Amino acid sequence: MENRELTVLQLIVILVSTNIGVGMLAFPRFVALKAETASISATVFGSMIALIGIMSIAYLGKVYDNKTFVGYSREILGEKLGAFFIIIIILFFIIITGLELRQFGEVIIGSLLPKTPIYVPMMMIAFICMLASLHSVNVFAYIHLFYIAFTVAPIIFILLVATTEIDWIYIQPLLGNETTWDGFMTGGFVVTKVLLNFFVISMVIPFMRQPNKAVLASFVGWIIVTILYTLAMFFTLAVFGSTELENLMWPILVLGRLVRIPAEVFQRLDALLLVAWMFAVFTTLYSTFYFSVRASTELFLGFRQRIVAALLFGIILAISLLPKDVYEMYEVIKVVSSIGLFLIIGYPLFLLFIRKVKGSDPINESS
Amino acid sequence: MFRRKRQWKTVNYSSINGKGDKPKRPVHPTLSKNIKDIQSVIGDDHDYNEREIRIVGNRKVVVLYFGSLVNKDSINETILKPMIYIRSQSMDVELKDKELKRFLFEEVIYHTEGQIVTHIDDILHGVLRGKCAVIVDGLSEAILFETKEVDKRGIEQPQGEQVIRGPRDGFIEHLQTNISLLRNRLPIEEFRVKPLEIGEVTKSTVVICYIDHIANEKLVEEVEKRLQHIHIDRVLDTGYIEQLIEDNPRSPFPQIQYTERPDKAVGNLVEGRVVILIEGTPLTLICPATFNQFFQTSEDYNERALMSSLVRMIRLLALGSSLLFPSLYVAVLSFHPELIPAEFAVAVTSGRGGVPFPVVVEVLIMEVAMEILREATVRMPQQVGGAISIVGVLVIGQAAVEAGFVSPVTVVIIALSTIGSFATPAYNVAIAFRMLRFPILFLSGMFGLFGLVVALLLIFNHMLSLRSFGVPYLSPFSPVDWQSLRDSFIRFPLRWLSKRPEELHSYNTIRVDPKVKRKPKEPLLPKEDDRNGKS
Repeated sequence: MENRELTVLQLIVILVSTNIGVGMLAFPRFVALKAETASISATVFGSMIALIGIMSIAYLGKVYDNKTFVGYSREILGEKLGAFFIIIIILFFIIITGLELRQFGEVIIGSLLPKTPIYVPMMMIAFICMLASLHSVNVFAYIHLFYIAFTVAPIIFILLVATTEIDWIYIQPLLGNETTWDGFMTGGFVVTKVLLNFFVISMVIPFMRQPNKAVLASFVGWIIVTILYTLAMFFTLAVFGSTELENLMWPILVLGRLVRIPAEVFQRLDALLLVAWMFAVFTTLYSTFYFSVRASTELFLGFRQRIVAALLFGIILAISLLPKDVYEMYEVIKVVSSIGLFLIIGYPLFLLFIRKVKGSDPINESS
Repeated sequence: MFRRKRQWKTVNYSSINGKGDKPKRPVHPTLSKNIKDIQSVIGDDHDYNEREIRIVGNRKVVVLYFGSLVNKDSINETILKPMIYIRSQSMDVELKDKELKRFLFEEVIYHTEGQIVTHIDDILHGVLRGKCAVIVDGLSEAILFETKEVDKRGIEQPQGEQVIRGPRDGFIEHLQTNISLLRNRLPIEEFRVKPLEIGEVTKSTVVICYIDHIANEKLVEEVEKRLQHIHIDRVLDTGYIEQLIEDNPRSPFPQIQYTERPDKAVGNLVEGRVVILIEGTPLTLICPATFNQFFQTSEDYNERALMSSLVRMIRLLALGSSLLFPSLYVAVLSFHPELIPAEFAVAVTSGRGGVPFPVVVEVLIMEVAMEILREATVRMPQQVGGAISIVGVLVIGQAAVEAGFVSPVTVVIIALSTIGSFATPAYNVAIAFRMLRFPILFLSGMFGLFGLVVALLLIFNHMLSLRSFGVPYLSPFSPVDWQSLRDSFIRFPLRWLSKRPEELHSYNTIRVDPKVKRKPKEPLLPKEDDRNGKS
């Protein structure tokens, strides 16, 4: 691989910052809809499911330490079948990026720029993603590392400020009052679906200085993500209660409205927190965008990265404009992410299984 | 892999000085022919001098030099005098050609720097650079002596980088003096001074300084390679070199630092960076440069750690406010007035009562006026400068507000952002930020806080992708380096800055031996006690 400069810390940060994004604003509502007071345990459960995928991807990256997922998919499944799955996964990420972009646009229009047509902010963010996706993997890591302070700190800040508003009744009992097993599972899967972007690391691990530490780094990253998501779930549930939570489109944003700072310098802080959140969204969109661009470039050798990026810019923007409104958007997201759940968690396991069956040892083969 | 390789075009510039690939002319044994050759090239010049004398064996010798470039005393004393003197001592000694050369060079002339050349072109080359040529009849070689002396100013404190605490000397236009300022501070054998000549017409001497065993070899090689690839007719300042060797010429941010202070240059050499000096300018280049360096001054290390850390944070704040204040003002006032306390919002709006434009236009007008004012005062002589600033203060501060042209709060905001940009120690970064204010202003005028974030994302992403000689521009922030972070927006005590910046990949990284403990404090005893204790 070009130059192995990525550190363990950078991989952790990529994983964390990729997963803190659009989904984080909305997920408590969808979990609470299904799991009610059991939402916190459901979040942990959903995150555990994601861990299976993360670990298998990290393990594959460790074993094939100089190949991206495009490379080892083709090695394990053969050229044609490999290419088929790769294209499906790229398509999934293109669609997911488009939908995330739309979600972002809805939030911006809803809370910052009510009179602006929705495609304008979406186009601007997509354009920035396109420009940024022309860079090398190192710059990809630098960008994530740089913005992590802007993203994690405000989220923790909002959550901690909300401590005073907690009502412990809302989160009891931990395993749900009359929550069905089915509701608990579906609630958990919502979290898994939000976390599916972890797959991006499969494109990055071969650029690590020590790919053998990929598994460890991914695990640490997963722990941080789980803690943040659980905290977000905990605070929104404990402050609003599951019944009210079901009515809030973006609960974390509402949580931001509770924040007041001393000296009354700012009347309200939610717009400023939205600024911080925009950085978070950018990093998430950038991750999936970059993943799609790099994977397509690697799959279709001969295509130049900037042409692919420009093409994807158009396609993603078009996809993001397809849903009629925010409700239809969430319906589409529901369908797409359910497919993604099987695809993204199942595919690495499938690869590992085939590899086991074939009994190939890539380390000896490649040497 | 995805970074476009820089393509260097090789253009044949030899036509500029008209020499082309003509073969070199050797020195002819007949003196008059050589003189004729030389005269045909430079003979008509006003400051060209020839002095013909006769030495032992009644041989003719011609000494040539440019009067404007040499120290005539040293030619008189150490070149002409011994040659004539030796003739008066031993009149009729006949020497063979070979012996004569050895005799002259080794026994007669005692000037320090001499070299023997065999071509007319080498003589011209030397004489044009302040050397003095001695051509002897019958010899097919000439002797060149270094006699260059040009007027130079004294060493003064650099105007652009004044300090309250720190050395007062600064570089001047004379290269040798500048090197001596460095060498004086670095009396070690590892200090390297590599000369190069750049500029087809100006033939400027460029010198690469670094410390062996500290500076990374690859960095030195890279600097040298980029310098050697320069093909340009003139190099009048290090600014030319900077623009020709920087990584991204289209970026608004400077990727190479310049300084006039020898102590700063030495500090950077010791950290493992490379310093480039040029004959004829007091400004030296330091490469590679990261963004971190541009809000630091050499004084930060001279003053105590706690205070310099606070000062650095203030500088960063000033830099940030120079970039963001006007656009934040526009965004909040025209898009999100709910962010600021209601009373203040009312006060601002009522202050804008008679202003006919939207906030963004008002701010833009003031910004442009401010930039014009700044530009007008920079180059004015002090007497006129005072008048301009009075006009500026009256027109912009007072009259514009009274005329209902702008609101008083806008004036405050603009003033804050302008002062902020002047608080940045590096002028080139301050100006980059001042100019970037305008696109941010446009975006936030159109999209409020969202536009502001978009602009910030664009700027940060660009900075994160920049590299200066392979060093990421925003290191040590991203990629993070915990050691170098100790010397970023805060400065740890010198004892804790135990390693050289990691991003430079310098050898021999230890700066402070952490094992050596600070000497324990001993109480200062009163005199009587001390005496009693001893006796």
